[in-house]
Amino acid sequence: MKRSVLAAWLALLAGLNSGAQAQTVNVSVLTDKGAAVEDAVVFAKSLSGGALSGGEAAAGSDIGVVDQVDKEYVNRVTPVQKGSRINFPNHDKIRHHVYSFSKAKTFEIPLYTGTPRDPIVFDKLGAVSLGCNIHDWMAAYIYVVDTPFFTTTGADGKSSMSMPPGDYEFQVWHPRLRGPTGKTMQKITVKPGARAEFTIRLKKVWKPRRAPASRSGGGYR
Amino acid sequence: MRCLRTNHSEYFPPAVLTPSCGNPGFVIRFTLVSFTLILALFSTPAHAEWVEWIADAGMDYTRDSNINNSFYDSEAKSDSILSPRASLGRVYQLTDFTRLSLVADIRYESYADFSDLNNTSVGGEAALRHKFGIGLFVPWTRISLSVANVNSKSDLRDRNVYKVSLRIGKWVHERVSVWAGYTYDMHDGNTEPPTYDISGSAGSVNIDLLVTEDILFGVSYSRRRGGVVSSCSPHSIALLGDVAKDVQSDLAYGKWCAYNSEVETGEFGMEASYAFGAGHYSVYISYKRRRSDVDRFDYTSDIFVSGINYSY
Repeated sequence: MKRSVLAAWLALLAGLNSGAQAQTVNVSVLTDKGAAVEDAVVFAKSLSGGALSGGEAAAGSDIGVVDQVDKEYVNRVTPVQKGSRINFPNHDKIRHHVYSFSKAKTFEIPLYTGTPRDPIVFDKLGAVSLGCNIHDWMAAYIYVVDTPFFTTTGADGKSSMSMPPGDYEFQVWHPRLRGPTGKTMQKITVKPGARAEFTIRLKKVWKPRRAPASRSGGGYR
Repeated sequence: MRCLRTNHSEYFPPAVLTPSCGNPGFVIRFTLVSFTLILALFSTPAHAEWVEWIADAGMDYTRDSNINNSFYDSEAKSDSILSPRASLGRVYQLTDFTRLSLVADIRYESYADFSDLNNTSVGGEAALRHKFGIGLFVPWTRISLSVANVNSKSDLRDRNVYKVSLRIGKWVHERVSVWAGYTYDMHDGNTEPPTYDISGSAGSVNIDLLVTEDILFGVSYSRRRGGVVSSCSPHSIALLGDVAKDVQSDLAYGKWCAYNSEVETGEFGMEASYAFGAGHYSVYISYKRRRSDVDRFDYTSDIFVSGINYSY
């Protein structure tokens, strides 16, 4: 989060240098049935070009974190700018084995406690799906974008972004999004009172259940 | 009519503790196994890494339509059983894909109508689980050895139970898990005749389906061939002929007889469970239909179980 704020501020400064004042864009993501969508990543690319049009995370940017607490990942969805580094501290008193087979980043951190020495660099655009090879129910997502303007919706399906005025392409991604992210694109002019509202359809994504059944059968035991 | 022994003697005195109960060799073996299990729980071998604790508890309520495994419908006894249970253990990660779990457990069964069947079971299990790679969909295998000492209010039923089990399984879809297993069980009683000295082997298949994120539905089928202990009236013993072996009196059902027989048992089961409490708890209901056959005799049992589980 600190890294994205730094990048956004740098972009804002570039906009301010051109005489424009940052505007707050209120974001809302709902399902086609009107329910709020939590953990939706909304991101915007400037159509103006220059310093606002994207790029990678600045060198030396803060390292992001996806934590592991009580045998669950925290947070479930983490958006980052391309080139960002993420650490995976383990605050459980047990070992975890983090892995991903996603095209955007394939990696594994074999059994460990504490914080790994080297963070993982996410240098390709797209979704990275995380698992734990010991605890099959653990799941989280990292979404890599090439713009400093992005946010994640809360439980009410809402969030906001500060960005220089101008024309942008807004898109939304969610782990359960039905259809490609590109189909959610909206061209929005950022000005006072601008809003980015999305209605998306979600599909079911399953993960193993953590709680035991009565029969001591399969599973991680 | 009294229980008839297979050597045609008549009346049996109540079950007599044989030297095997106080057999020094047996006691030493059991003590060593228990001590090793307890020691292993609180120590870390140099070649393994301790990774986590196992602490589970639960309570089951069972309704069994034929607790005495009677071949005669008119003599089948039904009862309700309340069973609290708890287990404590540790898991050692031997390699990135292989883990050893050592668990001690205790269980108490309280029968509503036939209180002589009340019993406490204390034991443990050592299990080795191996995943054939990384990811949700790689197959896994599990081999386990368990031992339990059953102490019953009915001395006839005091015994040690040993089980060796091998399972293989795999998630075939994010919603569906399948596994198959083989189990060999051996019961070592302490009476003469050795009614509870039985053994058997069983194969099983299981399928679990995630109905929703919190509701799991499972079906299973198992087939066991081996010894089963039943109880019946003295009159029925005479009718069973050679099917009934190691006959002795069984006071848990009044002046009845206990015996063992080699049967083939098929069991079909279904279970639905609901998870709550951030995945630490589940409640469940299940139904099993058990049918056993030997020679020209057969019996069935309908077993309903409901319960709650907690897992640390």
